[in-house]
Amino acid sequence: MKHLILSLALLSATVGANAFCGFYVAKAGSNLYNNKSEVIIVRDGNLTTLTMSNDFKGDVKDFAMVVPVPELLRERDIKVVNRDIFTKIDAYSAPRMVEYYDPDPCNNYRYKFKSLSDKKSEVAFDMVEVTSAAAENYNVTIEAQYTVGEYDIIILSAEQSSGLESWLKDNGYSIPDNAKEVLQPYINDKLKFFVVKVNLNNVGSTGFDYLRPIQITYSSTRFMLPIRLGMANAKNFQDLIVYTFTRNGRVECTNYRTEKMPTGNNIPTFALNQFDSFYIKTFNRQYHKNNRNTVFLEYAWNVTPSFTGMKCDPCVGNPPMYNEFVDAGVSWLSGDPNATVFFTRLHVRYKRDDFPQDLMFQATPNNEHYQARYVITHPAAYTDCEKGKQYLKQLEERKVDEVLEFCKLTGDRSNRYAWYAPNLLKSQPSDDGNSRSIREKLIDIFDPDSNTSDPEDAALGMTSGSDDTKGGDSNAPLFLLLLPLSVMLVAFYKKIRKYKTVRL
Amino acid sequence: MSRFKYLNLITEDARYFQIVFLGVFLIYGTLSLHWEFNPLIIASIVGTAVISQYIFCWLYHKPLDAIRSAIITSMGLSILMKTQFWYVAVLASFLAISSKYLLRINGKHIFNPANFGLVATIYLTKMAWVSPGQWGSNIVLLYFLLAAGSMLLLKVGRIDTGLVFLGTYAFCQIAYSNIYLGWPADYTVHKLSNGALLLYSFFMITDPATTPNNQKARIIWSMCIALLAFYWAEFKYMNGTPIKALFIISLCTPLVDRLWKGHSFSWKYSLKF
Repeated sequence: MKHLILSLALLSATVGANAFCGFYVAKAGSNLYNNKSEVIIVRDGNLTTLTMSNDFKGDVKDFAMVVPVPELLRERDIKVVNRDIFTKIDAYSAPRMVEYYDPDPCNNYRYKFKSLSDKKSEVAFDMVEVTSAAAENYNVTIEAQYTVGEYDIIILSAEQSSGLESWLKDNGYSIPDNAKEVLQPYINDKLKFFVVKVNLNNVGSTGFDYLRPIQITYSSTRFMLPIRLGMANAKNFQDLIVYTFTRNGRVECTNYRTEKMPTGNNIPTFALNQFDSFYIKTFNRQYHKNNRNTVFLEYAWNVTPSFTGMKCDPCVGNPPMYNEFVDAGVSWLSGDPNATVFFTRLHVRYKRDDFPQDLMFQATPNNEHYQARYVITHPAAYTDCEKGKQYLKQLEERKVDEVLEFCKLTGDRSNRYAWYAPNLLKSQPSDDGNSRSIREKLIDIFDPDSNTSDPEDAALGMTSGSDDTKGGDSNAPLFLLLLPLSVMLVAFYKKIRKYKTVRL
Repeated sequence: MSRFKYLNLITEDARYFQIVFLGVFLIYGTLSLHWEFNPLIIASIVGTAVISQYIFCWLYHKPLDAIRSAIITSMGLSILMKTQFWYVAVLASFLAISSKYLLRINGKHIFNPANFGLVATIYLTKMAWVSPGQWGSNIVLLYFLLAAGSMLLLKVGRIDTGLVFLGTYAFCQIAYSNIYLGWPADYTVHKLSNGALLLYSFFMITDPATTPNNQKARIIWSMCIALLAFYWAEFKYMNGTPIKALFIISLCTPLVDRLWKGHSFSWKYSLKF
């Protein structure tokens, strides 16, 4: 049994502990969790540079990956790059937390910005192993064969998926059964297969103790990321982080919704030590709330090296430097002082049933900045004065709001955090709805989940979405559309009756 | 009759009907699908459309009820066009309305105004775009789009155009994706259940004022749009292809109208009861 990963990057970018874009199968009763894969896509006109991160930790001889590509790649189109790029741009663009400090209420200062801190949402992922088998091969053309860095690369074309499958199996690549359903469409679509294995002779000479990311460049009008090949297991989802660099503006998905993560929320100070789990829960909740088939925006910013405006607030890492852009494949910066680079970070959690199509993107002119950012505010330390009492009272109220906000994002029950905000347990005069604006009421109807729950219910642990799998049913508000529809029906009915009596 | 005064108002002119539905879609998209909501942009679009419509009505001595069409056009633009700048919105809206009066052949305007404003602004300014993915693929939403669209088209007598467009597009998609490429069924279902496709086919491509007058001609015309949109989407990997295809095929409408005679459309008497 060989362990291997088949990834489709341009095909499947799956995150693998083992590699991006992998097939994952369950072993001995334990369900596999998704892995995270990361890709960098640089898009300039029709030119695409795709870099696939590979944090394979097993025996390198077991590493393997298959990626569908739209054209025959030449040797100079394939590179290996340093993994630092991923570490840097991930750190730079990750959802972040910002800390503020309340001013001393006994002085007259207002809120002031004191320091920044950030946390990366580095998610731990399980490793997955894939088994391989052997078989016969047929009708597969080896279009080219290269050795680049520590990798042996073969570009294949095929006429029948059965032939390709046999070839892959014969050569130690295992393919899950349901990968067949995508191999044939890719073959019919005239895609080539970029097949990678580790060259054991070269692997020691690179000076790295890990496999470096592979970068390919090709020209194609399609701006897509093949994920279907990596969806071997329909039950489990996989996480994919896509970092894109374009000239002008944000990248968005054209065949799935692109939704922003909530941002700017004030959350309790205890979140400081559990930011990772906070963000994982928040993401999970958004994922379910958006019907599990949405692409999430986590960061969008003009990162041009010469851009003098603010590049982040707070900055979680150093902004990417010129040479890092070049390493990532941004080729338009040299020689053009006016050239700009726009960075978009997208997070996709996908599984077979919810993502029947590969991801298609477009580069829009939208250069509005965005970052997933959560705010904690530390209370003032000295409150021993008249104003201080008032401050403390307000602080207690604020803590309640923070906890409710936190629970709204994570789906936790708010009474779990009564130790932080004791006022949660006090019954508060409940809002009878009269004082709320029409807009709030409308939002309530259309998007009930977005509203902070009633403090009393919250105190009793009745907050909505108290378990992770429970997402808002976004279909419900659609029934509001029934209203105008029924009005029209009645109107038509009247007209038709008139028609019958007059004309017949 | 007085009890149904307002209902009759709606049925009297299909444009009220359309305003109600587009308004609901806009509200739904903003509140539930979290589209970027910029009141300044919406106000620019609606304001410019109404003002320029008013000016053109005055210049051309037309009745002011065309303001209703201007509101529909501006709602279509608000739903489909994305931009960050109010002046781009003003330009799109102005181009849309002025195309109705400046680009005319044989007393009929060539382009659907919203379509013209959208395509011209995207290509002229490069500061506007469409988001075909913004609707997602929500079955319930699609049902309402379908129901609302069908009612409107039945009313204005253009259901043929909408169904032929959708039918041709779906046929090509199934033939290509499922039969030729061999994708599983849900791949095609997902492609076809895109809300944008239905919105285009029911609220834009079928605009009675700009479709050919003759029914046979309309059927061929909408098939051409579907084929071109499909070709661009699947082989050229373009986005928002029904909009662009409509723009190109609209150029042939005057010729089609000359070859096949038919009754020209009037909003006032659209409901032939």
